[in-house]
Amino acid sequence: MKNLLVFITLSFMTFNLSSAQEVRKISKSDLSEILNNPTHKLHVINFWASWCGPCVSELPEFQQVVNNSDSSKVDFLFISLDFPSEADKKLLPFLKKSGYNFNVALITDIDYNSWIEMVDPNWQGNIPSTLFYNNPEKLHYFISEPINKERLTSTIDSLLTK
Amino acid sequence: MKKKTLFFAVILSLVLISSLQAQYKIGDVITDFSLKNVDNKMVSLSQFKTAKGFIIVFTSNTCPFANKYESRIKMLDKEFKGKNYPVIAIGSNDVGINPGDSFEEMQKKSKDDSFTFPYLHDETQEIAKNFGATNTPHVFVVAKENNQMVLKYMGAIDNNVDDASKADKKYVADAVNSLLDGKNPAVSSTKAIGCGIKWKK
Repeated sequence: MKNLLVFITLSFMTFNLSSAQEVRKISKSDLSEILNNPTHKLHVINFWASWCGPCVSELPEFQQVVNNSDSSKVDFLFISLDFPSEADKKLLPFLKKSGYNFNVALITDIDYNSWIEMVDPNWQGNIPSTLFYNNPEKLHYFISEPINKERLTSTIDSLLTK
Repeated sequence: MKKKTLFFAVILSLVLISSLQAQYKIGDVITDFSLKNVDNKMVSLSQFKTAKGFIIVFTSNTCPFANKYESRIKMLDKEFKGKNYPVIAIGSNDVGINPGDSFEEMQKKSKDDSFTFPYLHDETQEIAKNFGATNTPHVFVVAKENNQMVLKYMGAIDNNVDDASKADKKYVADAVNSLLDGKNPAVSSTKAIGCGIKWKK
């Protein structure tokens, strides 16, 4: 009986540990704040969704780049366009299963046309897309297609040495 | 130096993009096409003698975003076919990349989900390229003017993928209703989120 209790307690603890990936819910105004971040740092935002095959395919390489990056210089955020109504059913289990430890936010404002151009005026809304910016440096670079590890690394390196 | 390289790379890609996509803009006359329907018959816009226009939807069997909109695509056909603006659905995904979008799967989908509109297979992807369709679903509303079909609206169906009843901007329905009133749509272009069309490599 005692063993069972220990087992249950342990399973709960493991459950809590493995669901440590928290997803911040952001609105359009939160996004605006994120995009206007005044810190002198390179910010990288990847727009993705768990329903988007090419997005999911590039995440393992993004995780590697996140791991190898100096977090004092580069900041990563992964903004999910998952359907908010299915976040608990799809997004959270996906993150839990994949074990990614990067920051994920879920945009809850799905009136996409009201914020797409805020990210980049030429963005058609296709994902995956990745934005690189450093506001004090007036740096803004947008890649609206899947990118591999090499391209991601070289883009970050070239933007850091500007 | 690096700034310069980046600059030229951007210019080069812009030039490449504009030369690759000679796609329709709002107000352009669109060229009729002939594609195989799920009933194995070829379908062209010119066959619809009484049509005042069309709601052309690039969609997919498998894309979760398109699936979210499927019942709304059916509703659009129900609402506007009788007003001579029928829905024409087109599947353009490369079957090699997305086997779930094969012609046989399109036939199955159309039958299982009781599609009331043609579901055409754009096997060469030429029609999607002509229209500049990028995602599924991606809608193009055309209207007949002087016996030609003119592009009047392109983009999303509405502004709430999650819940049709919460969409307060019904772009496609509003566009068609304006056209039925003899006016151009107030919003002629929106960005359509969705799964990228899987292009042949």
